[in-house]
Amino acid sequence: MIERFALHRWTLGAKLAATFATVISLVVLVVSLWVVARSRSALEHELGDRGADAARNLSRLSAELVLEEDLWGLYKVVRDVVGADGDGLVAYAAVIDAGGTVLAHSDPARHPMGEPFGDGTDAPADAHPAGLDPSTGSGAVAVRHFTAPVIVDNQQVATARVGISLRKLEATIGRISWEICALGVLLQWLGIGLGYMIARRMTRPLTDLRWAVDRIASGRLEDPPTVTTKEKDEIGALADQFNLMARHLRDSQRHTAEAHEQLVRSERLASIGECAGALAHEIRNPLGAVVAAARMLSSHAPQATTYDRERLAEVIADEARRLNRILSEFLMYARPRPPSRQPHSMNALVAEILELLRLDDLARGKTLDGRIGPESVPCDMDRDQVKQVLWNLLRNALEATPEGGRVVVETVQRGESVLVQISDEGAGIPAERQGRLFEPFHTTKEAGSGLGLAIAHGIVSAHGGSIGLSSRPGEGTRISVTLPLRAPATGGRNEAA
Amino acid sequence: MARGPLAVVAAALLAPVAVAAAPSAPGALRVGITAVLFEKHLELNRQFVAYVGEKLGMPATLVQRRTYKQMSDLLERAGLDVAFICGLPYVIDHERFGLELLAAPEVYDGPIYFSYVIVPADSPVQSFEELRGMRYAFSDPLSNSGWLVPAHDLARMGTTPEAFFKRTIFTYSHSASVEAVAVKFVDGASVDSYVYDYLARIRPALVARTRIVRRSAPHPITPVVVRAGLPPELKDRLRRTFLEMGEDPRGRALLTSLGFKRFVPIPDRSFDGIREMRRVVSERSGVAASAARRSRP
Repeated sequence: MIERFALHRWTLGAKLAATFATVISLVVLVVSLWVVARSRSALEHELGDRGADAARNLSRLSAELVLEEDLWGLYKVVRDVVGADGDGLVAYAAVIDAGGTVLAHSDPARHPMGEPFGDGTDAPADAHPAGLDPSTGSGAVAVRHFTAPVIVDNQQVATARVGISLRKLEATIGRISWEICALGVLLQWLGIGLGYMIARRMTRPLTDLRWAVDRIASGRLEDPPTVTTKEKDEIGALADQFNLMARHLRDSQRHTAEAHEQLVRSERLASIGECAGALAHEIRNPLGAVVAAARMLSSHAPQATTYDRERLAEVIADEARRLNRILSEFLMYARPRPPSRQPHSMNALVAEILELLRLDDLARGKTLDGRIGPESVPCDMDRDQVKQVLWNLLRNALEATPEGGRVVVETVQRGESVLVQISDEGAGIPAERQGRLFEPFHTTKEAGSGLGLAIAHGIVSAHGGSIGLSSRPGEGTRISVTLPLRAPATGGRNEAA
Repeated sequence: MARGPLAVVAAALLAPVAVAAAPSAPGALRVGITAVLFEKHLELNRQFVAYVGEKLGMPATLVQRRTYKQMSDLLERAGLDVAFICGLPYVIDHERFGLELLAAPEVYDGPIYFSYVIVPADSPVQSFEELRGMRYAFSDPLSNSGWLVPAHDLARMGTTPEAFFKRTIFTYSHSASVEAVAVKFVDGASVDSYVYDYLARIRPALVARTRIVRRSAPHPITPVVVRAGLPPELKDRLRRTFLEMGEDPRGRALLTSLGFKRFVPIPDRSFDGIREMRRVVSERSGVAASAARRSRP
C-alpha cells in the first residue's frame, strides 16, 4: 500500500501538481499568518484608541454630573456611551467615585449604584490608575478595560471606566481567517490545475519520445519516428537529438544491410569459384589420362600390338566412366532428388546393409558388429536414399578401420526420432579438418570424389534429420545420423507425391 | 405636585441638558413648560402653545426649562407670562411673589392626581415601608408627587429620606424615574400618576417592568399659573381660552392627545393640603430646605 504512494511511482504531472500545491499552500500559510497577525495588531491598536477615546469622553461628560451628584444623568451618559456604539464594541461603561463606589454603571442590575465596584467579573479599578488598561476579563468574552480620571478643579473626583469587547475583534479576525482559508483553497486548486497543465505540456514531447523509442526498440527503423515539439528547452533539445539519432540509426542500418548483401554475394561467388575449381581439378586427371591414351594410340598405331590397343582403349573407357561417375555424383549433390518417404523399418534396412557388406572384400579381416534390436522401428523415409547414406558411411568406416579392427553399428529410438551410430577404430580425423568434412570435393582418400559425405548430408537434411561427428586422432570416429520417425505434415513425402 | 401635565409632555431624551428657550418675539405671550418628557410631546407642546396664541390673536412662544426652580426664577423675573407648574412651587411662589392660578386640567374625576410608589416588577418589595435601606429616586426637589408626598409620609413615620433610604437621587423627570426603576438603577421611586398612566399607554413595555406598591390620597393636579402683574384683561382671555378648549375640535383633539378631559377652574384653597404637608416636612427635619439647596439653579 505504501509502495503504491511512493513518490518514485508518481507521474511527472502528479509530481509537478503536488509541488505547485505544496508551494502555494506554504505561501498561503505564511501570508495568512502574517496577515492575521498584522490585522490583529492593527485592530487591537484601533480598539485601544477607541477604548481610550471612550474613557476620556466619558470622563469629560461625567465631570459636571459628578459634581452635581446627578446620578441619573450620569447613568444616561454611561448608557449612551455603551449604546452609542451600535456594533456592541463597548461592553460596559461606568463612573466610579474616589472611594471605589459605583456612581453609575451601564448594567445597574449587576453593578448597583452605591455599591463597591469590582465583584470579580471586572478587573479592579485601582489596578490601572489611568490611561490604557490592557487587562482582560474572565468572562466568556474577553474585555479590555480603559480608565480615565474625572477631574474637577484639578482634582480627581471619580474614574471613568470603559470595557471594550474583543468579540468584534475576534469575529473580524475569524472572518479574515476564513476568507484567507477560502482564498488559499482556491489558489491551491488553481495551483494543482496549473501544475497539471504545465506537466501535460512538458510531458507531451516525452510521451512522443517514449512511443518513438518503443518503435525503434521493436526494430522499425525504416520509417524513423520523428518527435515534434515547439519547446526550445531541454526537452526540445532532447527531442531534436533523438530525431538526429533515429536518422543516424536508420542510415547505419541501411549501410549494414547493403554491406551484408554484398558479403553474401561475394561469398556465394567465391563458393561457386571454389566448387568449379574443385570440379575442374577432379575432371582434369581422368581427362589427361584419356588424352594421353588417345595420343599414344594414334601415334603408335602401326606399331602397337592388338593387346596394346586393347589396353589403351580400356584405359580410355575406364577414365570416361570415371568422368561420368564424377559428373553424376556432382549432379546428385547440386540437384538432389526430393526424398519419396514411405514407412520402412530402420532396423531391417540396417540389417540388410550389414548382410551385403559382410560379403564385400572391404570387410575381410574386420569385425562388423550390428547392435540392432528385434523391433522394426518404422520410419518415414526414402529407403534408397537412406540406404545410400548408410552404405557410404559404413564403407567409409570399414575403409578407415585397419585389419583386425571393429566397426559397430547401433540403432536407438529416441522419442520421435531414430539415432543410427557408426563407430570405427580408424586413425581418426584431425580437429581442423572436421569442420570441412561435409563440404563437396573435400576428401582424405586417394580415390574418393569428395562428394559422398556432402551428398549424405544433403539427403539427411532433406529428411529433416542431422549428421553429427566426433573423432579423436588415434581413437577412431563416430558418426551419428538422426532421422525423425514421422515426416512433417508438409514434408518431403507430400513434395514427393 | 410633580411637573404639570403639560410639563410631563415630552422629553426623556433631552433630560440631562437644559432645553434652550426659543427666542421670544417682542410682545409675544411666553408659555413655560418644564421638562420635556416624551419625544411626541415636544411637538404637542408647540401645537398647544400655537393654539393658545391663535385663540388670543397674538404670537405665543414656548419656553422650556428642565427644573421647577428654573421655571420659578423665570416667573419671578417676569420672563414668563403663563406656565404649567407643580402644586408645591405654586404654593411657594404664591407666597413669595404672588403667582396666580389660572386653571387646571382634569385627568381623573376632578382636577386631582396621585403619587405612586413604584418598584421593579420582579422586586420582592410589597410596601413603601419595605424600601428602607434601599436606593430611591425622587423626581425634583420642588415636585409634590415626586418629593413632598413621600417625604411627608416619611416624616409621619418619624424619619427623613436621607435616614430612611440608603441613597437617593433626583432624576428631574417622572418618566426618568420610571425608567430608573425599570432598569433597576434604583429600587423604588415616587412618580406622578398622570405621567405613569400616560406612559403605560404610550410605552407599555417600559411600564410593565415596574409595579405600583402604593397610591397616595388625591392631590390637586399641576395647575396653569400666570405671573403676578399680568394684565387682567389678558388673564381673563387666557382663562377663557383654557376653559373653552373642549368646545372646538382642534382644542378637543389637543386635549385628547395630552390625556386631558378638559381644563377647569381651581381655587387656591385646593392647595392647602400641600401647604400642610410642607409644614410637616419642614418641621420634621428641614429636609425640604436642604433638598431645595440641592436643587439646581
